[in-house]
Amino acid sequence: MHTEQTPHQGAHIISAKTLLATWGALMVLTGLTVAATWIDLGSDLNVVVAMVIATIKAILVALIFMHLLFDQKFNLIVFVVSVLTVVLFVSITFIDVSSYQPSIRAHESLEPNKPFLKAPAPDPASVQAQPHP
Amino acid sequence: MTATTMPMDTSEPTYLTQARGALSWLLTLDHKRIGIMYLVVTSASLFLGGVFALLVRTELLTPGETIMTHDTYNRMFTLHGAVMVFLFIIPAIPAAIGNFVLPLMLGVKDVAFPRLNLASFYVWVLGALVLVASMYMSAIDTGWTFYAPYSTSKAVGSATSVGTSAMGAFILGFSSIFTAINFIATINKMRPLGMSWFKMPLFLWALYATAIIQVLATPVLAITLLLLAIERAFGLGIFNPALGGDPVLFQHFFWFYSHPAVYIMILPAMGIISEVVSVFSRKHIFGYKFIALSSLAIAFLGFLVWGHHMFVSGQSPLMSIIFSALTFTVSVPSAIKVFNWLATMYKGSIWLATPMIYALAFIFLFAIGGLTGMFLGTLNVDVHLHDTYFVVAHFHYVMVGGTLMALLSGLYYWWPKFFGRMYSEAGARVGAVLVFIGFNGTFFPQFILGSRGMPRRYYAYLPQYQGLHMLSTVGAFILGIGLATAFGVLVYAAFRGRRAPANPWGANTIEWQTASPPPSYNFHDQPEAGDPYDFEGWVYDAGTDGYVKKPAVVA
Amino acid sequence: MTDTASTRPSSGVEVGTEGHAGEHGGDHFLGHHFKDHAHQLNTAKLGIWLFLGQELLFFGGLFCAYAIYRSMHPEIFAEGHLFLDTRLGAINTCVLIFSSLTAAWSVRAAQLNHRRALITAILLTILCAFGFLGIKYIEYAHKIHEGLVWGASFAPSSEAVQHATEAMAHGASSTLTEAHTLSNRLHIFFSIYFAMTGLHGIHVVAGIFAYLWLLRRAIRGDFTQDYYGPVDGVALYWHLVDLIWIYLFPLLYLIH
Ligand SMILES: [Cu+2]
Repeated sequence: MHTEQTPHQGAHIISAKTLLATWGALMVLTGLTVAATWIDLGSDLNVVVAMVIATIKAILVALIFMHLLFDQKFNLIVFVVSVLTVVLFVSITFIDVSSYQPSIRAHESLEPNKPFLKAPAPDPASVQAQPHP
Repeated sequence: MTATTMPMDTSEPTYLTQARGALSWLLTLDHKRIGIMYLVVTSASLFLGGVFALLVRTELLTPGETIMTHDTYNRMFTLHGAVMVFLFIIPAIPAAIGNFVLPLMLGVKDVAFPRLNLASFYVWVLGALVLVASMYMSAIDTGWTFYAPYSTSKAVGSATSVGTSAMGAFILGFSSIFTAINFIATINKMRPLGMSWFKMPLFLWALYATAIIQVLATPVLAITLLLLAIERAFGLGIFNPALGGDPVLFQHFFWFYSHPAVYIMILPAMGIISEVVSVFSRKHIFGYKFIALSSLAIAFLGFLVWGHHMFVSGQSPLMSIIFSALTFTVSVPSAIKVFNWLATMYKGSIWLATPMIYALAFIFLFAIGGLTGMFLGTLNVDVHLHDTYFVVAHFHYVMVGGTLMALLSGLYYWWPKFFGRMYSEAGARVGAVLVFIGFNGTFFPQFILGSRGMPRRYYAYLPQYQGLHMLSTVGAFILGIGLATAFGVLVYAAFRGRRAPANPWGANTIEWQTASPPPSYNFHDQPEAGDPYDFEGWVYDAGTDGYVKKPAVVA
Repeated sequence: MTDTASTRPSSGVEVGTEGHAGEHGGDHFLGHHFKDHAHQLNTAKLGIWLFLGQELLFFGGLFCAYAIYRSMHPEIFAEGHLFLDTRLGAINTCVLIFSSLTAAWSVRAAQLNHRRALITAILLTILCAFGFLGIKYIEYAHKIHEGLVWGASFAPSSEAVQHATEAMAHGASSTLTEAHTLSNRLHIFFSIYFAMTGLHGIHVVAGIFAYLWLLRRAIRGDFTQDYYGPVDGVALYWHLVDLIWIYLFPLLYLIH
């Protein structure tokens, strides 16, 4: 690995056109993700769409702005491994929490909507802090 | 300002004599000096943590109050745990020995980022000061694990400096991350010509695997402790059930780091043992690739088993079963290492110098520590054994019997390189024997105590446990005397020992090709990398009591 | 750097700057332990990437907390996001994406030895960072004023609640208009919101300091096509800050 340095003369310079095009794509995708919330796809699917768009944006940033497409492959490995470790952490924790959650639900149903915060101070503003129908 | 233009004497200056004065140390970018500074501060932490341990053991001499109140006791074991884990075991081998040895083993002048290296040292100092100061000013009694909701609630107990202690550990985490970044970059980019991945010394493989864990796991601890501190200060409610939060989530966060952290502690130790066992058996290491790759395997599998700390704390049965099963897979690469060390020794000509004595102690004690880990990883057995002295004994067998033995082995092994002086073999052996006896005396009774139901972290206990507790306390004092002897011999050697040859052990890793102690820039000429475990090229030289290259081109 | 006037080659271990003149014939910015600039640049970039890797895990904890609460208590997100100003969030997204462009441009300018373009790009990036923080300040001030704060301090004012209720009625979501009372865990949404955006904001502040440092060095003329590692490194960091926001925006503001 140490022997295969790219000589700095060959360091990759990204063309102005590519940079601007990437930026354009990111802006379009930002518009798209805002627009997607105006359409009701069911809350699950909406999350999926938002995350897919965000991931496409993230990949654009990583590959082009961050040079990963042209860089030493090891940097890409570092990035991917880190992302996968986050995924591992979140998903295993997620599996556990979702499997013990029902027992918490059962317990909480004994006291439905128990307030977790102390009763607000009796000033007029917070007394009517319930949404009107 | 502290420059010393050395008088042109015959011997060239070493890294120790290159520049003098406190500033030349405090502002150094030399990895060797930074390593020595780490060695000093981690040894001081070991001493501090050891004093707390002896106080705890003294208190447990009798079933009731012996020398302190129950509140003081709770603070003492927290201090002992936090100091030993965060200030001593995690940085000891990588930051002290690793910093010194890694660039030398690679035959380079320094680590990739010397200033980051110095920064990591000062970050460590800052973190240590915050941690110790907050514990000193207002005690914490949560144990080193900071479990929510006890740690997040302000009302309970005297636990008032949990927030600042957590911030101390948070800062220490970044010191660990910086060192790891340095090691990975150095190993990746600066290996000399001829040293492919599979010609690297196994200590470097171990440090590499350790660094991967440090980079990937430590930030999760950092965010956990940061959230904990904020939660305490502002009442965030993410972990606090009184606010609708989830305390089990805290344990997931905490153990996602703290289980892999066990491998941050033990992997570098295994690396040292791989070096020492081969050198002192005068035999090529057996199963090189297996030992190398098992380090990576341990690093990987270590990320999949954290839930075995949560079998009885509200984790779902589903995940408990999965975590229990995965826990057993870690024993495979660990056993691969142990069997390869044994196979290396088989038919070797074993030289029982002090590093080897500690290495043998490591193998024996680590085997016990590892095997009792299997008991605890078994779901139903753990229900009985969790939170008892069995657990205490288990992890002390791994951490002290493993990491501390390997640290001592490595210190004795590289001490001639560090300071250019030999230690007294007789004194060192006395220390080693005392450490071994004292250690087993302290912790073996605790296995029995635990399996008979003595819970951990208890201040008072039933009279039936007193005999074993007394045995344990006596053992602790023998261990303390043994460690004092071991370190005393080393310190004496550093100042008064006889001059060490460049290669006292006949080892073939690159650090032995330069003078003891090395000059500031490490090597005169770019050294050659060969098979690190081929000892054929060295021959004993009675004149220096060391080994010299066979072709004898001594000019 | 003052302490080694020594002439011995590569004895510069005490030297405090990145350059160890001597071995590399007076090349001030090449570390004495590197073969050449390419070696140094590639090593530095690996170092930065490892740092970014740990940053991902650092934020990963918060994303984990988010995922857990979002799936276990979806109602607090459905209600909570109504209190946020999507317009400001969207503007900030655009600001940050533009600053990513200028950051990428600064690397290109440095590689091409265009000093003026480099300085302009750095200035624009700093400007965007301040713009982002300004808008964030407006949002935070508004939230705090309305009592829409984290955890135990959560006490929304009636106007805020009114506002959110109207937003519910306007919104496409029909499931929410039925809700008469706010969830008892709503404060956790704001804990997560402030934790995530706050940590992100701290990273933006750190980025400003890094870019000010770069600006000074760029004006001094430190960077050339041979030596531009710091420009590259800071830009990589800045892109990561952008990348995190790319996820934060839909996760916090755009909840259906
Ligand atoms: Cu564990």
